[in-house]
Amino acid sequence: MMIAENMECIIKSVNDSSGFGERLIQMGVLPGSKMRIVRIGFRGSTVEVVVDEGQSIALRSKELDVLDCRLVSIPLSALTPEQGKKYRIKKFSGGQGFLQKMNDRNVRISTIFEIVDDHPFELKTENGVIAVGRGEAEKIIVEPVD
Amino acid sequence: MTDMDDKSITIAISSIPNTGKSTLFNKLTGAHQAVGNWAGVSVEKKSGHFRLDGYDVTLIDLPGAYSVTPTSIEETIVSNYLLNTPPDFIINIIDARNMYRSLGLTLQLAQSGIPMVVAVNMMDEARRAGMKIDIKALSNHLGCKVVPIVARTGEGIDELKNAILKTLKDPSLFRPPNISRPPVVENAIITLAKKIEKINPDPVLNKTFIAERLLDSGELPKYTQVDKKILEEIVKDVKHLRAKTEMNLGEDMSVTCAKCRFNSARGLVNEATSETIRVPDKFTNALDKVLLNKYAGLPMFFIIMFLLFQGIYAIGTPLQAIIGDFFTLMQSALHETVIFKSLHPFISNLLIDGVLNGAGIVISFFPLIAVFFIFMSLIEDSGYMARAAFLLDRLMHSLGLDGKAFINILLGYGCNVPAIMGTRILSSRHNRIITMLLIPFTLCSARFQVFVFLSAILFAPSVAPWVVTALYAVSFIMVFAIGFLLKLFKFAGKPEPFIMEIPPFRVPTLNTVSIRAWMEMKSFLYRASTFIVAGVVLVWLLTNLPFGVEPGSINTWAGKIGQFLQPVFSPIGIGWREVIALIFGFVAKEIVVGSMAVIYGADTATQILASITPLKGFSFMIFTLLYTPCIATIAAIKSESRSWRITGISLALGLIIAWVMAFIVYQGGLLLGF
Ligand SMILES: Nc1nc2c(ncn2[C@@H]2O[C@H](COP(=O)(O)OP(=O)(O)OP(=O)(O)O)[C@@H](O)[C@H]2O)c(=O)[nH]1
Ligand SMILES: [Mg+2]
Repeated sequence: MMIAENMECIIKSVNDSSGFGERLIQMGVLPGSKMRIVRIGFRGSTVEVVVDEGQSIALRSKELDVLDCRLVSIPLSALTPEQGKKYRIKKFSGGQGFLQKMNDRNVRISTIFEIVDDHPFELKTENGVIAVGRGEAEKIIVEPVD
Repeated sequence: MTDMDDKSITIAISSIPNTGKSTLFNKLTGAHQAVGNWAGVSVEKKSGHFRLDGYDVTLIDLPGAYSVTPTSIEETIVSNYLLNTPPDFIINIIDARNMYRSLGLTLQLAQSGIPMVVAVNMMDEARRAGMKIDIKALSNHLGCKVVPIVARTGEGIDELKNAILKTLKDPSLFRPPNISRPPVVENAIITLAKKIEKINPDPVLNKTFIAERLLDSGELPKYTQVDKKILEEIVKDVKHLRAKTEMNLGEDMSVTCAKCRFNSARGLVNEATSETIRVPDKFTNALDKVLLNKYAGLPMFFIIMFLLFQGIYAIGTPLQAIIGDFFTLMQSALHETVIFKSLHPFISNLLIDGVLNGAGIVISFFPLIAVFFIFMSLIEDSGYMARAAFLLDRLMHSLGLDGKAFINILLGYGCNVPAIMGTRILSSRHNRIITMLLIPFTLCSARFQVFVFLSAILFAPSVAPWVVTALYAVSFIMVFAIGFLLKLFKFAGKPEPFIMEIPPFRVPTLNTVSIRAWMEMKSFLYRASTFIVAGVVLVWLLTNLPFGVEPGSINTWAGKIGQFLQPVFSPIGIGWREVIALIFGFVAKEIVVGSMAVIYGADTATQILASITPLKGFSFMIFTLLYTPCIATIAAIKSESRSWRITGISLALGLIIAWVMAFIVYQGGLLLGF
């Protein structure tokens, strides 16, 4: 499973009968629960997630693999170019100045795009290609369009 | 009213981890159970007493558990207790800011048939977050009395007691709640419940509850009084019904049961709370941004540990010096008194140079220990413990262990015994054993005293704290090095699933911190006044007998023992006097300090300085750091591992590694010309 800070997903199923799945289930992390990745520790092995009901728990990124998740939202910066894969801009997590800047460049909520390049980011939209810096990409939260 | 008229009943406090069970327990009974802000502080069931208007209550504080289907040892303790020896009454606690997660267990318990009241704790935090809770709605749905409380301050405790009394007197106030389940499950439960009704093995527990437990976990309680044949039949039925429902629903039975419970919980939360609040709160978020930072987090952990140590040292050692001086003054004053002059010199020396000198030096560490545990409990009660575990998880993972095991190792720096018991929060036996083998290499507070004592004598005042710091570093490195060593010998932990709750930061209360420090000091004073004194007296006798030889000389019994062991210890620069101290150090490390004082007699510092070089002293400290911490630790390892082999391995590992490391230090130091 791809993971990135600030990514949100919904658990579809827990494919695991080992201790890990069992414990999560008893804690109320069940199919249908929403999960947000808050931070990824040094060298990526330990992650902190917040489940939708608010509890913060530490897990291993590898173990998240047993969870079958549906991606709900992810920062643009975590994505890579992929032919034909479309995303929609869901929200911006920046201040007023950032919102204004995005608006001026025609990057708006609900804009649908495809990633052509990722350094720097070039997004192909209906109205042409937009370039976005890496720092900016972290503040643009997108969702997959299927 | 007298005790005789009182009816005795048992009430158990049960809830998910870190909701304030022990805090409430302490408030109700006036006991001093350890409280800390992470999941898994209590790993044993503890009992206490209080009086409740006509009832003599035995209150049981249980470890935290998410459900009666256990996934670790502490949870097994809970489910065994609740299912096999049900209490008369349950107090369940809900964390006001985390109701959904708490309610899973609440709903399970409410169905058990054991009368119950629910306490909604942490109301102070909920109020601060602007959260409103509809207690009436909760109470209606759960079918029992619900009381908002703040266990920390005692707010709402009287109301809670009242609710318990009312429910005890009028059982109709309590009725198991309804949980909606898929029809297949419902039918299976009804079928099973009927069968169980027939054998009626358990007068207390609700039959539907037993039936659901059976379906959920597939395990039958041990009903010794029921005919084996009938039980086997029921087991067969359960298997059949489980298979049928799992087929029908396409998922694990335990998932289905949890789903039913948590769906009800979610509905209840939606109905009873005004708005969903963001847990973790702003304060926690802001702190975590810094403390758990990807790059700065780990260095910050070491800096925090270093500052703590500096603080303990800076505050504790001057206080220690004052008490130490006081005892020295007292000794010389007593020697001059008429009473002691009239005694036989052997007796007066035993009392003054033996007992008073030895025990006095140990007791002078009293303030240092107090400051140490005050700082330690700040770490435990603030919530930083779980953060440390998060940061170190990666490193622990390379040993096949995880961040939770690191919590135990960190606890070892206070005292090894509770740290070893604390390994119950680990889910596999294998990982528990490895952690248990590593904990004895932590620099516990008793060893700390030896190092403060010796380094102050052997090194300049500006160097001494650095020597102790270096020993902390050595201890930390050794824990990991030995972890790798064990892995090399295929002794490593199997990578275990790692799930650890990260609690919100809380400001530690004066109460918990002082209780914690006080309990540690009490046990320190107890040790000091009993077997540390005994050990010191023994050492004094050994160094003064047989009659006629020069006290403290090689001709005494101690000298003979030391000489006998000399071949083993001379390669590591440890003389016969220190060997005696090390032997008694097996009992408790504090005795090492006491024995040194007794062996070297009055004016200990000058005497030690005259016969031990700094290098020899450092080698001695390395040995003290790494060999068996104390008898209590060995006993804890034996009782937790239930294996003499593991206990033996731990002993041997400590002695061998201590010797090898001291050898490297001493011979290396000699080569380098120290
Ligand atoms: N703000 C607030 N904190 C509380 C309250 N009650 C307990 N705490 C804190 O919550 C934390 C957990 O308390 P404990 O009593 O150790 O909880 P426990 O349920 O016994 O925990 P385990 O033994 O680990 O299962 C501690 O840091 C307490 O100080 C309360 O009413 N308000
Ligand atoms: Mg507790």
